[in-house]
Amino acid sequence: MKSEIHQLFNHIDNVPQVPEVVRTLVSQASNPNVSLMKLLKMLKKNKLFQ
Amino acid sequence: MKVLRLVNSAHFGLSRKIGSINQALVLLGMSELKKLVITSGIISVMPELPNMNIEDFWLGSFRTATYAKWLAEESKLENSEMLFTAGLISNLGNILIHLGNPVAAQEINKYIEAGDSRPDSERQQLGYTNQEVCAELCHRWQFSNDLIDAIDKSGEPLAFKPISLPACAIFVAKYISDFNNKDEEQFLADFPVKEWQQLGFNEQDIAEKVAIILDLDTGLEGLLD
Repeated sequence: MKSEIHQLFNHIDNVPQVPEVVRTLVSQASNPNVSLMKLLKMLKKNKLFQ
Repeated sequence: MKVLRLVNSAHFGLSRKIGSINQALVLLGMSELKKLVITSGIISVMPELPNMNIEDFWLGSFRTATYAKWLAEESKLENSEMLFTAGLISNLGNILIHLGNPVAAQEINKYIEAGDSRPDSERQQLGYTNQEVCAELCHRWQFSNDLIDAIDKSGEPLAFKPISLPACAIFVAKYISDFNNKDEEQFLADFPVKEWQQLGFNEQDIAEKVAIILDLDTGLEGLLD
């Protein structure tokens, strides 16, 4: 990473963090082996779905 | 902003109210449900900025995501779902630049309004592009290398060898997404023909296929309510 980009991130108080369910769903797009049941369980627990 | 509320909105036109994730999965399918959760989740963590119209920003991102997925499917790229996500988040670097260096962000906008290109203006003011910033954010979010690479190269896809077709899809999708800001003659004159051809499309099909793309419904506007 360029040092200038590192500096930009250092100037941001709260760099956004992605929810775990989103990380899993995005990685699942390139990994068909992730279990559907595991995803359903995660979605049921996540407040984004309520 | 909640997924269940959107699923039960008029947009989806479901005959009965959905109350559980299992019902949503059966009626919408996994692909559609994933799109909604990913989009909702990313919107939820990005801040609103006083000097940026965040609703316009997200509407543009929804269009870019939807168009990138369509382009990927039409040109038989391997991972159209990845292209949806990449298109959705490909502009997040702009938000981070506004957050971390608002003065430079305003300067860049002035240069662009004066007719300079965004990549040139960003490099001049910052030494890097918003796509590189977004790629670093995706790296921190532990997204896949394919997605990071596509976003990193999506500002100027032809500048990299070998040429990244996912980056070309995002670039063309973003250009079409910005159609509202241009008159039709200017839109066609500036159309990224080389990136379009890299995706396997013919130059003479631009008008016909763009009309199809502009008719696509993102179905995501309800997430901004």
